[in-house]
Amino acid sequence: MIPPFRAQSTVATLPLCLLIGCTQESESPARDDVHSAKAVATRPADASQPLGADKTHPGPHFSIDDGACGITHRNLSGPTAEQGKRYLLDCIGPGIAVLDADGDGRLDLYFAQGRAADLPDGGDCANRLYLNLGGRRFAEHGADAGVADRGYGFGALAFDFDNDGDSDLLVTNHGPNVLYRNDGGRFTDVTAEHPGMAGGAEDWSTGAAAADVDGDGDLDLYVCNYLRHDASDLDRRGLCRFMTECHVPCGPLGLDAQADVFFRNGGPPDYRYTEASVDAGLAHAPSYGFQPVFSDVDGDGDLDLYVSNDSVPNFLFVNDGSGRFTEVGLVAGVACSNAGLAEAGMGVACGDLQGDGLPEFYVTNFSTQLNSLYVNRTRPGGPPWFDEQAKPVGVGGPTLFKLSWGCAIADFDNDGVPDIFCSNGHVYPQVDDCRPSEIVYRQPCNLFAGVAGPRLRFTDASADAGALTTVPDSHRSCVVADLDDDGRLDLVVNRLDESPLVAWNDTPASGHWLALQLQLPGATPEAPGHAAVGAHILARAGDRRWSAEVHCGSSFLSTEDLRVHLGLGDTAMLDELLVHFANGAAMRMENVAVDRVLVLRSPSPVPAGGAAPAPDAATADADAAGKGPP
Amino acid sequence: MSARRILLAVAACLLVTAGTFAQQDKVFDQARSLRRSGQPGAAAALLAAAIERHGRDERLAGLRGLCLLDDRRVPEARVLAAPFAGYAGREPRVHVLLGRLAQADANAESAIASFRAALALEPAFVEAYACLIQVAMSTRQFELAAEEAGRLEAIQPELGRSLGADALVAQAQVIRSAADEQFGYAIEKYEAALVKRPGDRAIARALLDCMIDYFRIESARALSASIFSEDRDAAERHYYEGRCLDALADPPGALAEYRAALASDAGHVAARHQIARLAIEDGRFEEAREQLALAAAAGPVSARSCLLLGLAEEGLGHDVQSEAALRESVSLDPGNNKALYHLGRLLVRTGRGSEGEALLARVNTGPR
Repeated sequence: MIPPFRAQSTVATLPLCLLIGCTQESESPARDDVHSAKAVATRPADASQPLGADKTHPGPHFSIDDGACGITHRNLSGPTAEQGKRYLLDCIGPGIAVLDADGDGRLDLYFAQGRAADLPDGGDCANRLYLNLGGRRFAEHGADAGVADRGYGFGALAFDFDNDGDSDLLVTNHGPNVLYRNDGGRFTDVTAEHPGMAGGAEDWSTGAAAADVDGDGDLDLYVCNYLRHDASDLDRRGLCRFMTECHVPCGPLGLDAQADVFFRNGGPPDYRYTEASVDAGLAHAPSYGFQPVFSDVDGDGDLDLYVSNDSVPNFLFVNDGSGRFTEVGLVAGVACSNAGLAEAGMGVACGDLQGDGLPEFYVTNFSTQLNSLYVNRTRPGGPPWFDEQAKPVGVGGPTLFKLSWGCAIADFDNDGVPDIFCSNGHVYPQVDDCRPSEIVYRQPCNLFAGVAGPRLRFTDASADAGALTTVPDSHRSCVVADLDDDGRLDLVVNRLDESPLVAWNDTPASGHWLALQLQLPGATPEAPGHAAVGAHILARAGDRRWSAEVHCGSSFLSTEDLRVHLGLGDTAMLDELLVHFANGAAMRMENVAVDRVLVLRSPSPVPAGGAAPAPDAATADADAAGKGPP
Repeated sequence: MSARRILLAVAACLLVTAGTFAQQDKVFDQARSLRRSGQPGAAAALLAAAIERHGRDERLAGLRGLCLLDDRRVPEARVLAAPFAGYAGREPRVHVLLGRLAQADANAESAIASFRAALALEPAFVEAYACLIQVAMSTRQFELAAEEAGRLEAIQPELGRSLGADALVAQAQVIRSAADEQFGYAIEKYEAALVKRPGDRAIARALLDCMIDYFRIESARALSASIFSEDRDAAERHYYEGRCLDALADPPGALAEYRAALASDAGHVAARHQIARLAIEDGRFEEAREQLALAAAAGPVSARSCLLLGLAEEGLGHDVQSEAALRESVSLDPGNNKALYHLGRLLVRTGRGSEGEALLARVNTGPR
């Protein structure tokens, strides 16, 4: 049995709900043209060294795709760095969404796109959808699929808002946002059906995240807004001073921040969104929001909300279980530095680094502000409580001169210990003309390899991880996903004014792994299941434990793969696997084979109308354990 | 009266006047010597008697005013200076007196004008330079301070370099606290200060801390090796090597160096604080508390030691003791942001939300 290392996850009370009989299980669809997940997951013959117990094995390594994968478009963000960027608007860059757009089981990629300043109509500024053809090849399909929005794009959220089993898209823009409904691979702009979803013409929306915060069976939505970009006002101001001798685009401080917006999903039949910030307790002072992520930070079974804010304190909104929130970031210790100073929060990654069932947050910050690692110290039944520990655990110091954006907590070498990745590049091209010289515009990314042991610790593995982490560039947003289904997590990193980088994970001695595609019952017979956002996974092998959540919206302006990937090191079989779904259902399996994609569907359907799940053995016990919906 | 008598009378007057001047010179020199030997009160008394005898003399009055200020008798100095309001005469000491009074009144602009007037009259007037540099530093006019220190250096090399170093250190401290992006300038200023005062360990330590905080590890190691090169410096060498390893995310290595520092000098409080900090970060709160107790026995209580104790006690679940230590830290250093932050969080967590929130609002008043 897994010890109840989450107070409310007293899974010992659950009766066995063995997979066969009460759930559906399948492996990832067989594909002729790609490696079978199971086949390629076999550890290489020379990888006899047990992983996780030490760090003698080679660390993560990535090879940059040379363009053969077919993702070649150039990111547009106003004037290029060489042409001179005068506005912050042109220095941020857009996000990326990982999704299965056409329902073929392969992970596709959606890229938001900015605009070119010097080309008519913004240049070739349509957002891009690349369908995964397998074999590390993609084909551009955005215009055909109907998702080629031409706004000045920033955020890309892939989520199934109508529970029909396919992934819809929210594109956030400077200007009106766009919500696309996916119907079997064909997208329709349905923004007008959702009051307030587009936002104002002058709104600058950034990151977004979705989760079922009120337990009614559908995905609610939180959209960050950044600041009011007024070009004429900025032209009057000119450039602003930075460091001592530099002049750079102004902001965000000194410019008008915009408030984030929360939308509640009305559920079937229309799944219409209604702005509900005040009702949910999420109306707050405008705060230069960049990226939200939903996570159960205190282990009480509901989804709380973390928001990284630029230059002002970050937010942590705690859910009371009914979908009403209270902001506690400062007291909880996740709002600012360990010295009580607000920092320039950019991206945020969320994951359990300690194996205690509670999530940590890794937040990327400005140059000379170390990135932050908020380590979860919440006591059972207590309020959220974190300590900022980036420097002592080894993920702070190397970011001192970096300005980081996208980030991820993931086990890239499958050694059973999560790693941390952050993409770096200074916001201001002009910084190259500034002193001191350590702070430069183009910067290599960082990869921190988790070190096994009783103490949370990382080593900077950047030097050995390939060009992505050694070659300076204008990196911005990033996503993690096993795009080639080989059991190793790949990276896609956007670059400002350049084409995205696809970094294939070719770590030689990768350990065992398990990917979990978790589903809730679909709304219609035609839609057998949809992504189980917010599901919480606990896994055990001997005395080793892992936990993870399904996040929809994280990193920076992006959506990562909704499949949960566990690196398992030398663990060839899990003794126990527990899944708590957001609808209150729970599932337990024993002796779980690894090195495969496991599809698990919640055993209890969510009835139409959003009532509590129909009782069955699993949900009844989950409720008794305090993991059920309110 | 015959012409001869007139000439004799004039000669007599001249002799008397010369004698008076000679006496005044003598008094002036005596007073100056007394002042320089740290007896400004005696100097002021001597000058007062001379002024009483000989009437108003700007030079004696100016020097007496400066002596009164040295003797912290500011009201008397003000009375003495009152008749000189708007002074445009040629006695530099009166200008310096007026400048120092303006400086006391926080009127830096007027003070600087007075000191400059003094220097225009007496370009080698060291005191005027020193005062000018001081007021420039206090008002963060570091370029002015460095410029004047350079001029003083031409007259009195040692003093000029020393004051120049002070100006550079003050500038470096301001740069460090104001904007992290300018850390390179802070390092440059510390380095320049160390050139002016080679071997100054206070400056070297500040420079080492700055280098290590900003990851210039190899430079820090080289500096540490050159500054702390003697056998008696072993503790400092180990301490700064520990700091370097700390920055390089090698806590075990750092701990070993801090322990080596203590082996060389059991009273090295900073090393013990670092060991306590590492223990706190590693969750070994009891050990941290023990180290802090040893540090308290070896040196005075500081805001930092109280902060660390507060964090250790909090880690042990001793909220009352933690609160007391954090409050002590704040009382020792009201601007201690970190102590305010942790105290605020502790108070909110233990049910004193309003006070805690007020503290948190204080610490988090703005971005970096």
